Amino acid sequence: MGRLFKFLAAAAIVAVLPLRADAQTRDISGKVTQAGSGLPLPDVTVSVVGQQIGTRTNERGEFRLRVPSAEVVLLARQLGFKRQTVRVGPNETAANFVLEKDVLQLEGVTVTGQATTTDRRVAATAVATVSAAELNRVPARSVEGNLAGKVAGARISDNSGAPGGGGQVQIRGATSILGQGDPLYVVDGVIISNAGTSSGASAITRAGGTVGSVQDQVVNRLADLNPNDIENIEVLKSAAASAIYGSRATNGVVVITTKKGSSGQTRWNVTQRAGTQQMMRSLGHRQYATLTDVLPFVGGPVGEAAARANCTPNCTNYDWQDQLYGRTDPSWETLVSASGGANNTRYFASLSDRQESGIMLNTGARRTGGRINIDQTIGSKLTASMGIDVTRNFFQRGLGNNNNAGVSPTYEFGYTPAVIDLLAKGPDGRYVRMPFNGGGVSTANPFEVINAVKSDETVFRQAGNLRLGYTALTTARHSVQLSFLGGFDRYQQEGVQYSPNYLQFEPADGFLGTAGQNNVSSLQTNNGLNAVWTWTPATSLITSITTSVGGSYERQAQSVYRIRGRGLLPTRQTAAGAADIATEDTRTQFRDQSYYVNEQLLLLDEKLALNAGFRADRSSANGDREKFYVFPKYSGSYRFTKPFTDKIDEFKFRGAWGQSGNRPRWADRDILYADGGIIAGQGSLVSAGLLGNTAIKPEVMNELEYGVDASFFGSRVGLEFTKYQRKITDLLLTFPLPPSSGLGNQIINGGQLSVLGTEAVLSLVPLRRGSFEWTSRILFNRNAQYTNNLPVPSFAAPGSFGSAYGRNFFVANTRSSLIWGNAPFGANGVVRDTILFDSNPIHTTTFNNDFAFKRFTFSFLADWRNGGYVSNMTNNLWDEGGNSRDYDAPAPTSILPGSRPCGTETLGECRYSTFNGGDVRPYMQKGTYVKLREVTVNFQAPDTWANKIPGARSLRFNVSGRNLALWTDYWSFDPEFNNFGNTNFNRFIDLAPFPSSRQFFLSVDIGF
Amino acid sequence: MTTSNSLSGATRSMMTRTPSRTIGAVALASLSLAACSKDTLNITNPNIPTVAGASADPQALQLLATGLLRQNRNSRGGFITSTARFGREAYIYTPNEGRNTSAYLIGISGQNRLDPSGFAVENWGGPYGNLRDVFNFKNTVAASTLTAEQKRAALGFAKTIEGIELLTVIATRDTLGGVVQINLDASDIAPFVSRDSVYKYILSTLDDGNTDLGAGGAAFPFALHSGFAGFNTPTTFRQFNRAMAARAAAYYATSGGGAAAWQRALTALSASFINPAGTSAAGLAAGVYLPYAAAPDATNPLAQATNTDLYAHMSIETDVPLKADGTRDNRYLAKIGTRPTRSAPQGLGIPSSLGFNVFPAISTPLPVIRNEELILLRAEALLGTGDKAGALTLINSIRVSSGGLAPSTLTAASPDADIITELLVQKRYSLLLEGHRWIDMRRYGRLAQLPRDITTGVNAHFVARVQPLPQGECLQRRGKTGALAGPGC
Repeated sequence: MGRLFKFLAAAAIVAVLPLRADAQTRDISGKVTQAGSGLPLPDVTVSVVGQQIGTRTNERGEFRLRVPSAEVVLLARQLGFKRQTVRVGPNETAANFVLEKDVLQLEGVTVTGQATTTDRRVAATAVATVSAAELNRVPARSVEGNLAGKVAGARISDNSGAPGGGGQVQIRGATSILGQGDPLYVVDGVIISNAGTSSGASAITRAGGTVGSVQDQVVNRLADLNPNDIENIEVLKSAAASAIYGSRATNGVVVITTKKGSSGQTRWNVTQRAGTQQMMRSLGHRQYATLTDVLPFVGGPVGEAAARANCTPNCTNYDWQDQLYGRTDPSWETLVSASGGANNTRYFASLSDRQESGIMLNTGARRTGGRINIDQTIGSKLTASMGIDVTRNFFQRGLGNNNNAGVSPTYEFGYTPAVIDLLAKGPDGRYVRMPFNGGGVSTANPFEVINAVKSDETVFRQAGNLRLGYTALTTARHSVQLSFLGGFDRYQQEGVQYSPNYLQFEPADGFLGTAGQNNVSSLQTNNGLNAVWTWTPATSLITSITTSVGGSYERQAQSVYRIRGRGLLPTRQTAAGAADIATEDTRTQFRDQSYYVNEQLLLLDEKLALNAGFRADRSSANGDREKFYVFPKYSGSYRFTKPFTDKIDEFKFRGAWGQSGNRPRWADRDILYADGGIIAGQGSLVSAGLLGNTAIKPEVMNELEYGVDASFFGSRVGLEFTKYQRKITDLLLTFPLPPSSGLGNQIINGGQLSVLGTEAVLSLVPLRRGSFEWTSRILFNRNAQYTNNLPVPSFAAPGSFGSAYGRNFFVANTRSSLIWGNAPFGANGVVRDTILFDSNPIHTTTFNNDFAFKRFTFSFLADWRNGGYVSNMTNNLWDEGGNSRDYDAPAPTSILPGSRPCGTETLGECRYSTFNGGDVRPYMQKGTYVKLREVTVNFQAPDTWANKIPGARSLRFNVSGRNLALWTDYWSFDPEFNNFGNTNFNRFIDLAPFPSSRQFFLSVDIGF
Repeated sequence: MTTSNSLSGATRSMMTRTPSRTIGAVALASLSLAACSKDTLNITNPNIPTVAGASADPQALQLLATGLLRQNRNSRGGFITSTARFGREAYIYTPNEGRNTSAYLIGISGQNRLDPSGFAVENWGGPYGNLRDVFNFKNTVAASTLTAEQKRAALGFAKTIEGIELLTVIATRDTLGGVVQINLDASDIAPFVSRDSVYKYILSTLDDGNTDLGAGGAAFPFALHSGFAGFNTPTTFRQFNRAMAARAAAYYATSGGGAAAWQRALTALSASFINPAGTSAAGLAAGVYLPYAAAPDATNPLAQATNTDLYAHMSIETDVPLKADGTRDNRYLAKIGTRPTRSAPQGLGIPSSLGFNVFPAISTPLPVIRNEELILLRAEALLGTGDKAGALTLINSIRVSSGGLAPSTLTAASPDADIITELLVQKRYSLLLEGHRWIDMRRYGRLAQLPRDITTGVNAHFVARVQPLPQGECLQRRGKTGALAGPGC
């Protein structure tokens, strides 16, 4: 490798010849404005057609460009607007553009390979691109939040309401049972880590494991990315599109491009946001009128004494949730960016600081970062781009979700009647002890816990990329581009846990005090070489043929070190010297190599586009490390312009077939010993019960996608319709071995999952009159997911609580999204583990609407999920504790048709006793909702206003809100949440999460 | 834009050559990228030892040998608690877990049949887990750089462990038979063979092991744990091997092996560490033990100090022989103590107020085989070969030395059945909670004599004859025929 790079560097230096012909030039200046409103458009690329000369408009839409003195054609383009060309005569010095909104998203390019793109209008697969403006309409915790509802076919959900992030993106259904389920994220060509690794909250909550578990409100690392730096995001959904990423692409690829500088003087942009947040929905709390009412629910003599002291005989009911989750402290965000360029250098730099206050006391998140992107032209043939991103991300997310220690607030509130003041402090200055739910060491006062327990996560992240481009050849017919891309993504995550000795729950495990340190470090690098040869015969038969070849080498390494100590000296916050110490020290590594060939044909006056290619991969994760696995792809499209009638602008039919892979997990290939333990002082080795497989290979997805893109009425109405059928074979599975073999299970490839789905996007301009314009986009998505066959006995999806609580279960020829659980469906009401409901929504539909009037724009995004059941264990806890808000409501004859009769029981009693009798259905609740995710109002102030600020050139005001409203019959906080974080299946376990919040922002944006 | 029409022919040809040359160069570069970095894909697991990597380590043989002993110890506690429940020696009266009683004494509700997917399927996965490691150990030894002598010693050790593990399997599955073959490919299902074949295999394996040990030189190429004190060289280990062979032969003798097997038992006993004169407490206790210690080692699972759910069957008190002065047998006095009365939850069992004092501390070692058993085995074998007087001499020796009892009133003229009854009483009290009662009663066809605590209703108890195969074994054999199908669940 090293020698090769030296060779390349030498070649590059030789190739850079000082060919700077100082021909006659002149300056052209002008302004780009938006059709209708007449508002200036910043960041529009203005270039000379056929030449490598270009610039970008400033905050006021102005540009200045040095061009040859002969006649030139200028092109102005920006994602989100239709491109426009203007012919400028030899003597003219001004050119103005008026760009129309590209409502139908016909403009732009789409990624077709590691180094190739094609115009979107001829794309042969369904394309999903989200521009910076669309992405950042309303601030979100993490990029997933910004993307939610904007990509047809992607289901994006928050895992909890805790500040700072934690969300899942699932594209076109689950494609794996045990393998990776998240899309691959690529930022400026560099594959970044989206790992979610616990910071160790389980050491305190004891939710799962000794030192950390997936139930710890884990933040996936996409949260470290500043969405404001993003120029656009393209989501590669089908295998034909994602095949360029080979054996890591079955879950789709999210290609993120950050902002670049543009020639001209430095333009500064400063945005200051202030905001606040509030709990979106409270669970409410059962109201107790008198001592008699509350006594059955006090949970023991300590609770009874407390109830008697506080209910004399009438009880005061407290709103504990409002007290704990009612924090409205301001949130802040400051963004500063500078962009410009001179001579052959262009740059973009940004600094950001985002401070989010959590609605829960003592919680919040703060992301501080900076990015520099530099583009350098060296001579006429060589270009170099580099980017550096440095981020610090800090989280105080408190405790939430499942726990077995009495410390998760939403969990504990369910078991404790809210008839005492938990904020009161005793004579010792400490919070009152929680007297209910036993009143002993198995419960706690959440206010004390949240104030005293430290559960912090700090991430330092650095990412960088370098791209060298060399134009080896340009003639009228041929161009050959060589490029090298290298990049890295590194982070260090530090989780600190501390629970002081004196807390009520601390004696429960036999040790006073818990301290933990959790360090995760990750380094990923990738390098790639590409060569692209474009032949442009420019005949009516062949417009262009692009051939590209290349290869890449990628490395990922992660190490996790944790230490947890129990039994601490008072105030000591470290594990050293603790009475009981547990550690984890794990390292994982992957290395992958790939080669690809890609052929792209544009034929018949750009009406017919054909693509074919393959990528060959080998990986350290495969059983055979030398074998290349080949992932082919074919796609094509044909455009009919103005068929039948002029009202139809264009009809494009497209079809694609491709293969992508999902490589085995770490160590699936390894035949391992296990630590046999010690006998009489001697250590030992024994066979591991789980047998690796030296023939393990990637899971393979075959996907057929076809659809039509059409536009009508002079681009007033656009329709994209796509159907897909994906079959995933060679699944990673655990195959049970006969016990007489002496081993337990073996990892194998086998079986098949499939997903059938439909996506549709309807874009329209319902009204356009004068400067008023209403544009609308409706995204529709539905799919059906199946287990087709399994070479292993049926089994429950990993990450669940078992049949008493409902979970996905894999049975051949069944929908994989069905929830199985206990219900009295057997003969004579015998409880059976059987199919109950479907966790997959019937459809999800999103409504995006933008209204522009003069200097105002107003947008909203509403998400509608129809159906999809959720295992509402929060409700279950609250019913068991007798504290549900509707506990006393009259019960129907039975909770469900045919379920156990309620008799004289109240609603809460009947739900719980039905569940307790082996029927989980009362807590399987429909997750239908309509959520108003984004609302924003923008006002572009007149220049005269801006001019009052020294040096300012533009001024904009914005008021926006996220998650403003949720309409649902669902009982708990939010049907999107999942106790287990990001999971391929079982994404429907609601268990005492951090509540969801409504967020408001006021922004001022000044350009200098 | 210029057009290519104006280019000269030479330039054009150069131009057309250039792209292909460039592409060729890139292809070459890509290939070199592959060629020089192929090895970089070879990553070794840093977290857990791989079989391929660790087996070559100088320490590997020691760790693997210890692994065999560690695994053997792992399943011993479960073997004793399960067989002790079937044999009405002990109860596990866990307060909130009725299945620790019902799964062993009642079986599937109303069917008096053990549940293949229930608790009472131990003594299968554990022994076979160790048999897999025996298989790996033999391969490691074969591939090692040990001297021929050391290899024989190591193989003799491995074959002895193999025999011990298979004896556990067949002692609990009896007529169901077992699997004696471990395949390199674990998914390649091995056939079932009959009880007779299993015993023959065990005896020949132990004999082979004995031969190997005989050629094994002065020392093992690894150290054995402290439970092998006195048996930790190939020569002395042979005595342990022969002791196990004697037990196996005696079991075989009552399972179709007949007189020839009894003779084999006698031969093996002669080469074992049997010491009929060793009738002091220490003499009877001489043998091989499983050592225990506090964490990170494992503690004795039957320790009086920690296993407070372990109760003794009240019949041990009722049936106890009395000494001449009318007091109870010394073995009873030493091994049984009183406990707070407890019963199984949900009416699944009857109360007991007796517990075991056999293993007082968490570090009390557990016998694998000891002199007292060998003496009784010889008595069995002598009886089996018609030497009643010889058998009675040994039985009386144990009665006197171990129990403090008067010699038996039986004579060489007494019926065999009476002598067997007497022998089983001695085995019961001499080897209390060491895993013999149920197996011995079955061997002599006397399971029906074991007491049933509850005889009527849905919770009626029964005495299991054999342990079922675990459900997983049957599921993997579903659809197979002949020997691969096995006896089913």
